Amino acid sequence: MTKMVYDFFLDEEGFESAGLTQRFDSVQAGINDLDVSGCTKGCLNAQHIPSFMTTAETKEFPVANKVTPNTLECGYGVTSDETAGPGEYINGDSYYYNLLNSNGPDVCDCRQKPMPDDGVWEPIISSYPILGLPLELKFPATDFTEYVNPTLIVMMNVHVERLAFDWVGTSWPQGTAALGEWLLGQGVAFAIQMHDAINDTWHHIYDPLGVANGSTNRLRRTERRVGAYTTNHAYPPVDDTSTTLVPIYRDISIRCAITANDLFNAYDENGEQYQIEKIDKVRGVLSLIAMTGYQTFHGEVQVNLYCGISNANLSIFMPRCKERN
Amino acid sequence: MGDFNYVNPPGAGSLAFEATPTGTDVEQNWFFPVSGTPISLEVINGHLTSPNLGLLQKFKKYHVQRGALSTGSSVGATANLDYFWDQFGALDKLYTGGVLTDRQWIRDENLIQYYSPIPGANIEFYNPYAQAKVLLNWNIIWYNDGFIEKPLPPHGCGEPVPPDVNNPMNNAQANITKVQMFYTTSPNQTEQELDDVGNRKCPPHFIKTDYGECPLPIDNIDNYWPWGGLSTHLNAMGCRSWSGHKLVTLVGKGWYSAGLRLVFAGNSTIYGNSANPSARDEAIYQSRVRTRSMRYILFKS
Repeated sequence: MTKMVYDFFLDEEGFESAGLTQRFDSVQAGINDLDVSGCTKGCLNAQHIPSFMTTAETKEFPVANKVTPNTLECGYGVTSDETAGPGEYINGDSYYYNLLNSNGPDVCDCRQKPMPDDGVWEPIISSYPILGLPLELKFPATDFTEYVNPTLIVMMNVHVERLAFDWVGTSWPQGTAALGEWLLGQGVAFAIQMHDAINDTWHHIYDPLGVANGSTNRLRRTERRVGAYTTNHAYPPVDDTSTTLVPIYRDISIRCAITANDLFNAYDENGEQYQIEKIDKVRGVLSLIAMTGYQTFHGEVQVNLYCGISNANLSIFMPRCKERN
Repeated sequence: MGDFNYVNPPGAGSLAFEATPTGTDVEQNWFFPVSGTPISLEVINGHLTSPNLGLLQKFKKYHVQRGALSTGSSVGATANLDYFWDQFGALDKLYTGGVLTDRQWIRDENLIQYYSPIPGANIEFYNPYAQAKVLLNWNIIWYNDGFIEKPLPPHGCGEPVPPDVNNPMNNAQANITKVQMFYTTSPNQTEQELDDVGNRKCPPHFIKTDYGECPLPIDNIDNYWPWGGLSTHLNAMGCRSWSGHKLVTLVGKGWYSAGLRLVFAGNSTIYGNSANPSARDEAIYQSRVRTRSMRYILFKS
């Protein structure tokens, strides 16, 4: 209907059954077939309509430094185990990228080459109250193609307490022009990943337009990095307890919106682009950036990186969106 | 309810063809409140439901009452905000351990009394829903004028440094300014709770140029941190920024609050700070908060 039509009673018209029935029926038909044009602005309040969020969840790894000695353990601490060359890693540790622009002993200026497709990443894990939980959130498997403009909003914060490195080799290339690169090259990368619910695989969220130095080097849209440093460039750390380690206290803050387009821009384990049909989890990951290579007069240097995270939290939101017809 | 029907159906009873309608029957069809499914035109008094709406009818945004689904607001400030040593507890109250041993903050339940709120980073808000989620989101930049206990090779002069990097909770140094998030979890709660996940620290960033008992020559550019740079509170390396967030489930209508507070171990000029850099120092004379803000987005569950 558009508007209710009601015949007014005429002057001195009798209340007869036929006239009353016609008018009662008219009102009833109108009420049972309302039109939004008959609804006033602001007619729907909080009791009438559901939340506009279909998902709103969070996971937190609490800070230590509180109650018992056990909570004083770091949230995360690993050592990269880069051996002879880039691409080799052992003991399951993550590595991100450490390839320098040359391995030659006389030509290396120790700058990093472009990053590889993915590197090796691992989830940020908890140390308290339960050890080893991944910083990961699960939600109902969502086929983004079933909705109009679906968006999953992801927020992650990580507190990096310490980040430092030591090295193994003939001698540290201190005092050379390459020193800055050596110092700055060490660090940790953080990112958000989404989970393919059908193939049970994790994937980065790539910038579809961001191609760095060739098609094989894709930009991870959510990636953030933080570098390790020492207080004294002339005396790099000699081990993980070196006095040249300093707390860095860096906050990593990543905000991300995953849309249907991102599912089209995923890559499989062979580096081939494919479409994820459904995602059901997101997580926070990290990867160590430990440089390995040669320096003139100093031979091979292998760097071990140490990262300590005190706390982290991850939250997701999915606004209600319209289903496709 | 679905479509409604009259208590006295038109065309039947006294409303039947050529019958004589009674006043009672007519009156009841107009107004006859009952529990359950309405049977009179009283249905329009708040009993209309989705079946009453015609098929393919879709509401527009303007039909939704403002605030029916979410609310939100923010506060912020940009003017510098300085905190001085005498506002806080001294080193021996806020920390355990010693110079040559591990420095540790005292437990949170004891430390909580020393925090000072940060204007511009605290907010109160009303939750109009029985159940809701609130996303708190904030930004802050701060730094201090404490001295970093500069390490020297080999192992300097016994500086308090982290003995185990794999145990980063081991703060080791005491000259740290800590920003902590507080919030309430129940309606009209007066005391805020400390957020386990929400805290960040700012390290000191002055380098001593005179270590007193240390025999090594340290007044050298190599010993500045960052290397070669001037050790000053204007150095951006010393600032810390925090863009934090927290998602909280709220149960119950009422007022809630959230905000940031700050704490550090205060130290007067007697023991050394930027005004008296020659003395050994494990505490801070001044901390400065720069831009800060706190926002909330509250949505009905």
